[in-house]
Amino acid sequence: MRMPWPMPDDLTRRVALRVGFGGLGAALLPGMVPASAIRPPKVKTVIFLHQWGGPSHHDTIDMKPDAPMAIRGEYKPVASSLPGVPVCERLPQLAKVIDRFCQIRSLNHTMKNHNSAGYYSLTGMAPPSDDQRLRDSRDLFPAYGAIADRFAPPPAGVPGFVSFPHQIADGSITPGQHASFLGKAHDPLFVGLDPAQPGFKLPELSLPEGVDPARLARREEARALVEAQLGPLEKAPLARGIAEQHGKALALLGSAKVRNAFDLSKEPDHVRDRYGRTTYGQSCLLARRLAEAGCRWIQVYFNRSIGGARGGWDTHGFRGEAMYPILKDYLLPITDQTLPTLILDLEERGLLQTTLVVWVGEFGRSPRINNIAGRDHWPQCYPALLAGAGVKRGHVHGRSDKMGAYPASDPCRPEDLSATLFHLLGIDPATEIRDPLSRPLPLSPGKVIEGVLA
Amino acid sequence: MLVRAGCSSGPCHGNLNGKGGFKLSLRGEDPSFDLRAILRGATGRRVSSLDPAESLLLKKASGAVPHEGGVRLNPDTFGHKLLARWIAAGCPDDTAKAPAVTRLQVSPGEQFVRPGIDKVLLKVTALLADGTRRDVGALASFEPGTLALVTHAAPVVEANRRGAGSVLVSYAGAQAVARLHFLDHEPLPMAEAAHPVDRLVQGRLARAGEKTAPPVSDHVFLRRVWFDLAGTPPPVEVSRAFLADKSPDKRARQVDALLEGPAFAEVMALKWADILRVEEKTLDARGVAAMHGWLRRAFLDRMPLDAMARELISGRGSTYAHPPANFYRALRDEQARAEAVGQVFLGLRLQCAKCHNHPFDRWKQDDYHGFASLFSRVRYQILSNDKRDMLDKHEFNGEQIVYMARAGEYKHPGGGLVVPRILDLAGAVPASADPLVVLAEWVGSAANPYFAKAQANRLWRHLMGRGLVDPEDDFRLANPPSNPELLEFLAAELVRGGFEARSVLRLIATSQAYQRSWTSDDDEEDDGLASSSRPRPLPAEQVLDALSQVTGSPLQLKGWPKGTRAQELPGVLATREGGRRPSSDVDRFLRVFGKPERLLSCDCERSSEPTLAQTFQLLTGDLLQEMLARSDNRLGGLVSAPLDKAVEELYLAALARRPSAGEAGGAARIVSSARSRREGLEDLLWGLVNSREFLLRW
Repeated sequence: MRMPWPMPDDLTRRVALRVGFGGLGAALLPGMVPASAIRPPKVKTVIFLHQWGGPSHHDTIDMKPDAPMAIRGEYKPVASSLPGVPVCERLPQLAKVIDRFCQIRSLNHTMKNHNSAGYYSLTGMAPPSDDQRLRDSRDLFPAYGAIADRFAPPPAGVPGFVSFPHQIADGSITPGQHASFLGKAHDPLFVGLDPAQPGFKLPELSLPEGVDPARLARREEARALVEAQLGPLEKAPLARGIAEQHGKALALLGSAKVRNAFDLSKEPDHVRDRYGRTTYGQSCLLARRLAEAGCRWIQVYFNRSIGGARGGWDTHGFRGEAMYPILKDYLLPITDQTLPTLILDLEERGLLQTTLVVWVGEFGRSPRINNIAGRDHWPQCYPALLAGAGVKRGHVHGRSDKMGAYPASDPCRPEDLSATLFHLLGIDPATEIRDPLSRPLPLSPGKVIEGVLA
Repeated sequence: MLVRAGCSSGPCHGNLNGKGGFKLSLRGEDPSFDLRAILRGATGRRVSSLDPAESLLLKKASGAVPHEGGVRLNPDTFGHKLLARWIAAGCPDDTAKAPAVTRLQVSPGEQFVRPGIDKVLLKVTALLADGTRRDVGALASFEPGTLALVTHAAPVVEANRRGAGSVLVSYAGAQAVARLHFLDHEPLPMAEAAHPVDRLVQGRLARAGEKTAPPVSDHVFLRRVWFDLAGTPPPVEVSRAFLADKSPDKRARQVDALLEGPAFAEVMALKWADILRVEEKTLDARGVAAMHGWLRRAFLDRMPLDAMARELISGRGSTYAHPPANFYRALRDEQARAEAVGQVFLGLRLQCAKCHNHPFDRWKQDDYHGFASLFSRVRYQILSNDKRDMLDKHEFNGEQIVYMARAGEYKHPGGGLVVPRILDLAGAVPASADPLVVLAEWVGSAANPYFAKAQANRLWRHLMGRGLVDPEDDFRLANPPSNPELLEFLAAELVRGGFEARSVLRLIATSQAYQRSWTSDDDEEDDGLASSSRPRPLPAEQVLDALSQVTGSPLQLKGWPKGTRAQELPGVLATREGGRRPSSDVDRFLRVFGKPERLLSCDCERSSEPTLAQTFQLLTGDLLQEMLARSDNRLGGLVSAPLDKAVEELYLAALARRPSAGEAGGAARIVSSARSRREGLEDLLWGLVNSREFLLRW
């Protein structure tokens, strides 16, 4: 059942008890309300831009021009719209809008493998081990979007959690991309298609071949005929649940709002061009359209694979995959075209008042350039960019040390970021959910990063 | 007293990191640690013997100074006074000389409380090692197992909502439970019952004042028993014959026929393959086929469940030649093995006791690690590993030999020695013995108090949808069975029948309890008393196989023999050649409908809630559309049949019943409104399989 949003505190707590596999609830509930009472939500929509592979902070937004050559790298910083906060010369458009952002430069954790770190970055929950092929099992934590869908349900008729255009993997599927033990009802509406392709449309919202609307109406008539015989069974909770989902699916199928949101051909050419005619560019445009439609959590994955010539940010410098050419010709231009466009577009439409954009990977990259001219995994210190509702504008929270190796002030963990995001959505991070063994877990074990809040 | 006030609970000072710089052991499991924290912590400000009222411990607890946890002990309470007295006396340490609590008794252990009464006084008695008894009602801690019960005036328990619930009482490391039923209705006289299961069910229902729902009609029973024991809806001929049969014992005969049929073994094999983690990455395709084949064979050959458990627990050798060895191939470390044996065979979730004593049961951390150490000598000789992904340590492709090393090492995480033993059984497993052979013998023996009950409970749940203990693998002091007498009886029957699953399933399926309908005034949470039958979702494989059977379109499964059904797939994947990501429509369909990845030893991994994605599979998905549109499917033969006959057959195929007069007319009208007979029949059949009557097992 959908709760009105935002939910009153006590209701949130009571609902929390029944979530997941709970049953035996009260025994573990602290008999008190935490000191930090929940403020009304400032954020209606989160656009979470996941930078798979792990972007280099030295070559983007946390440059170290005074460090030795082997650390500072090839690029120079240039002045930005935020005095005293330079940005990489290869990101000139981002430099112009960096005053809209709140940067965190002191994120850190200890997971050196993509899948474990990726899971951490998608859930805010530390993985059980640092495992290159961490298996996606149902006792692992739900994705942020699933929690948002559960505890800050979207308005009727729009999906709460939408993710696209990739399912990320490193050898095996990265955990943390679905609702896991929170229940499949909170899984994302996942669109594994390229929005940059002509004719892009949502298969779920397209009738199968040979079935026109008139035929669908006849089918529904046949279904109604059988349903009319259901009798008392109709009132069983599960039967109501199925009917509810069926109604929702039909509503989505018939809703111009959602279908239009997915129809990028409705967008003028100059806007599509501005975002860039790349998979990522058009995905960010789709994200803006879904934000307009009222979705709660929109997750865009930068790329399906960690690295390579046209992959994610994993720039070790392996043979045939030299780091600087990939940064120069692909990673940085795409980022510089799309991210500032998204921010400005949201701002122009007044959506940045209620939408929070988050740009973060699973870790950063090593300060020292390795002997094949690449940078390796570096979870000890890495950045995130936030912009929009609820967070400061033109602010840097936490500093890295002079090599960009470790936090020099205000270190933050992924769980602190998750607590902050939930808090901004009006969800108490201490809300308890139950894993498949009914063990109680808070939505986030971290602390809200007060320093970034507007 | 601090435990009772909730101070050392998980979210508060019992947290691994404490709270506000003050850390207590979780729920007071380590009194000496707690004493040190109180006396020495916070530079000694927590207690002041000269001026007890100035003790931070009391000021925080009473809210005299700001406390995030609020007021836990008012100054006028017994607890506050007791602590003040103890502090004034110089905080004496009696942890060493206080006689240990050997047992805790709570009275009433169970009570049915009549309507109008909403309070029960519990009497808690501690039996001490020195032979004395002590009333500890004012000292023990009380934890209700449901939101309906409140214990702030403990030992008085209050109900703020009617219903059944339990209260866990703990004192000095000992625990006891009281089960309280706050009744909505006056108790009823017990209804007559000829069937032994019904006598026990009725006994409870009468005491609880609950009425039973009426029995289901023939077609509902037929569909129910077919899904439960064969995994598919009844074929049209079976439904026709059953509906026409006038003999009074036709339901019992149907149960017998299904239990003897080959599909029964498939249903059971699928169930066990789920919790034994029969999946491709770790076992490889050949291992998956071997293990699943062995399970299927075991049920076809009526292998007793205790023998099956023995084979699996002591399983070793080649994972190809001796399939039970795959049990350990799937469980790569000793803790996973111990936890799996606990859940699968004993109905115990031991995981909580890994890091601290179990908060809601009697398991101590030492029990967990002693048990886990039994499994520390399992080794793998990897004969070949032709894996696709060299970096993936979970992937194995090739034969392995599971064997026992001569010695093993197991370290207690807290340091100190681990005594290898079977849970809390006295006496270590001798170092000279093969610990898993000892364990395997014990599991199926009469000395084991868990196995028969856990398996009887699993069988009950298979048919009834909810365990007498629920979840089915969570037997625990604070989670008592809804009907203890019935559980005892079914366990005894299982033993009497030589641990053969069929005898107990037959017993349950022939009872009235199994054949009840659902009534809409039963909207509350399921209390497990079986007064009615709750509709439940079909498992993913059954949805797909039913669609395939009803439309008459066999699944197109690449690499499998023609006619293979989803229920017969040995592993997780329907795509045989595999790839990293299952990509076929069938895989996607099964995943969306909740087929588990088999990475946990728990049936809870299979999800069952209705979702939008499921609806879209049926509404706009290609799979169902292709099944409906295939020219050689069931509709192909019906296009030229008289319309009323065609409609009747579709109803019988999908719902095991004939259409009502109204439905027959409506269906004819709908079919005739289409451009062609074929299209009209497709649309009608679509309506039938999208109805909840079809999608539910009810």
